[in-house]
Amino acid sequence: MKNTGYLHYLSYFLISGLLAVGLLNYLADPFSIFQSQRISGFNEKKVDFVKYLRLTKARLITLRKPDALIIGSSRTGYGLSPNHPGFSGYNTFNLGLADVSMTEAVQYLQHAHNFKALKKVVFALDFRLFYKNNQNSTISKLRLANNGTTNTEYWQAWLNDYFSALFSYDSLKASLRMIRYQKWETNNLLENGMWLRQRIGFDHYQAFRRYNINTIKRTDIPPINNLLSKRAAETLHQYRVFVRYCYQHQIKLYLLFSPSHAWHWETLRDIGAWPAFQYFKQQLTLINEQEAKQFNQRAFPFWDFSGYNHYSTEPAPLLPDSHYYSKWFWETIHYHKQLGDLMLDRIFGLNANNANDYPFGVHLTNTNLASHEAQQTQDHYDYQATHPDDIRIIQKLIKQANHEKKTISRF
Amino acid sequence: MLGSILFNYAFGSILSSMQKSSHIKHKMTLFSGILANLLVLGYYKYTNFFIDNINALTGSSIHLDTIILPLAISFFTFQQIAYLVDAYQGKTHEYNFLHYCLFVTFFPQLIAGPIVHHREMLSQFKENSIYQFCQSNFSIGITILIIGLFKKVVIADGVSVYVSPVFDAASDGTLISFADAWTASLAYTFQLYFDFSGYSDMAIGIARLFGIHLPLNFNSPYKSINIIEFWRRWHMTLSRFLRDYLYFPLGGNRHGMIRRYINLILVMIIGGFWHGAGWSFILWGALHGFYLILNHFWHVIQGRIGFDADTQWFWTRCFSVLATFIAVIIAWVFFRATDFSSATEILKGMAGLNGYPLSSFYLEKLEPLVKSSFVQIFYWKLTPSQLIISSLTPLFLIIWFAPNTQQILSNFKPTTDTDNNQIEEQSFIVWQPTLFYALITAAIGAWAILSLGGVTEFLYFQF
Repeated sequence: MKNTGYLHYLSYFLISGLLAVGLLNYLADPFSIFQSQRISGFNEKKVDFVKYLRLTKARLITLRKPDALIIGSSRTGYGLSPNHPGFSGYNTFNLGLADVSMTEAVQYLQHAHNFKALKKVVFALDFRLFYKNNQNSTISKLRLANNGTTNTEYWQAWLNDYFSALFSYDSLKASLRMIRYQKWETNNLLENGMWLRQRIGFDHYQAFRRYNINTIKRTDIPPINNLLSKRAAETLHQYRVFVRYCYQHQIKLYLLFSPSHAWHWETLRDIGAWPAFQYFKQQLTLINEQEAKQFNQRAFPFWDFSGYNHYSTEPAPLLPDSHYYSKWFWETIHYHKQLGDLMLDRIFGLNANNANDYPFGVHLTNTNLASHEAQQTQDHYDYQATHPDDIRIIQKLIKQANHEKKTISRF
Repeated sequence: MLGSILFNYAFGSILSSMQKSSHIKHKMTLFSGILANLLVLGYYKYTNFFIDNINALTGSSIHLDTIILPLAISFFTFQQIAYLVDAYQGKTHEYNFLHYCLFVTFFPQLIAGPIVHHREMLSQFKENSIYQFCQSNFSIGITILIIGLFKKVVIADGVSVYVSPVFDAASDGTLISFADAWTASLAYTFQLYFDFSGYSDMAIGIARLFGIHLPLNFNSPYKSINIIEFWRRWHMTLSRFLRDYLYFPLGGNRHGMIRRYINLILVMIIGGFWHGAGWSFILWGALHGFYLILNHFWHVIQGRIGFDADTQWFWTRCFSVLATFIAVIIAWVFFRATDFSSATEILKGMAGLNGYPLSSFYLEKLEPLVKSSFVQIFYWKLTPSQLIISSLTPLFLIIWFAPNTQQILSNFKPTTDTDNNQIEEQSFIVWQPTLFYALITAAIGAWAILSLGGVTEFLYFQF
């Protein structure tokens, strides 16, 4: 064969190979950006979707153009449904992003508003939003239209995303992994952005322990006298930007602090993070009211679902038990959709009967903060007195986490 | 770069025309030309290093904004110093200025070598054939380019994920176990070779698309039976430069054993410092200088007793290759580590002083790799150890038993003939422009292109 033939065949094989990979990635669409048909057993379940959510949700917003959003972390992803009656009449999208940062929340809010004027937003706040560093805020920065869609950086970022999603080894692996794991995968991402998880086979006993240990390992709280550190000040500023944006653009905002299992609150107290948590709560309420005053509007409702109540004190799995059934929580942090529905009922003022049965959530204002805090402290003592076995396990887990923290060093 | 080209071309012409001038004057002109080049290189590359050291020694707090390093300054400075020395020695010809510019700025090798010599390049630029498209050159060039790209983006970048977690942990003061340390140092040994030789192959391939032959730069260095041979096979054009323009002018081996050893260590320290402005590079160079002294001394002893362990028997040869490889790995630890103490932590780990199994911090970092590995996709229970073994074992086979790019393409003279260019072994894979090789080349080309980009993953702590 002459060199001409070699070059022809080389080009032919190379281009064919790349196109074949591109076609497979397009059909499988592991990042849900091409809106390819979901086929059972092939690409119905978006395996590993959590890893690519920042790309996926940025794209889904450009496609669905929602006018109502639910923003928050993975808790929001699992717990708050866009199909809740409180959103009827709205095109609602669940923008739950794993380990979301405050800066990202602002960026995605502006991104969505750029495509369609938002009317209603539920922002589920987590303590972690305010003390962790902002490392994720650059992941999607360029592909978000918070500076409009006319800048070249925006289109370059999307071109890069499309190209990488079609013609990259990572995408090929993601597609193959997704196809291969269809049978076993228990999680999925719905078109409305909500995360779906199957209850069957879920090991609550292990999950309660691992998530509690994880909370301890990841909770890097600055000392209370250093709360106005640069990091905390920056996240509070970003929160102010978020709230101000909603006042400015006539977006009806509902703020809430997410619920967690009592184990989580006990742990925060034991590791000394509770004062910081209270401090942030106070600041967030204050900022909301300050901004309302600035724009001469009524303050956005701020609901606090944290602390101890009928739901968060649901018995935890103290022993391995395959028949254990948790009605409200997956583990210490993530709540079920049923509890999410109750929260949305509460903030939208629906199904008042449920709320009467068991008190859940407090409408926070600057005036009731102190009494609410006092009540939560009393609830904490009550829980300690009535749940000695739980407290013993929590203390054991704290010891274990601190030991793991030492061996893992600063990773 | 333009200033450097104009300066050196003018200085080279002056040096050539001064052949009949007084020896002192001639030498002083050369000296000032070299000094000017080194000062420019020193300013851009080493100023911050010297200031940091002065601050550390004197307790001062001199601060200088970051100096942006001009592209390829290390390479074009050396190439032009060689030109000045040769002009001084009357070995240069009257070169066309445009050709000279092309010699310095020839883009394929500009950033990562090989360090080309004016004699081997400028003579090719005179040939009219290089200005015409040639299918044969294109076939060979694109094949070498694809092999180089594959080495860089698939192998070197692929194995690099095992390196950083351990070296970062060591610099944070975390204890490094035996398995951590050997995995990371071996992975780095592979990463560096495939990265650097991949870049060289890409340069050789791209140059060949235009019909230009570049010198060979890597000749399976990890197959070396001793450190002397290693430096004849690793970054060969740098070794050639250091030998011809530093070691020989210092006296080489002409002034006795002690002087030779001093020259060796000096050359290697300078070579180390050329790689980067840091003590770790100097230490790495000094260590290799020490290895070379030991190696030469060992040869003297072997010569006296009439025994050559390196080549005597198959097993002693294997042992020599292994010993050389381990010595090189140890030196790479200093090259990669951010400081002396983290290098020591890694070496302690390699010696087994901190326990043997993979550490929990490393396992945590390996978990996402296990999940996304191809093996894991099709084989359910892959452990991190299995992932490491399955990733590194093929690389051992490649570095020790596979032919290199030049051997595979040996029928088509892939590189210039230099005195270093001795490809002694016959390859069992010999490339030909056939359908089979088109398919193989396309497959590795596609793999390499697919590895160029990726979708940013968010590493989420999941259970």
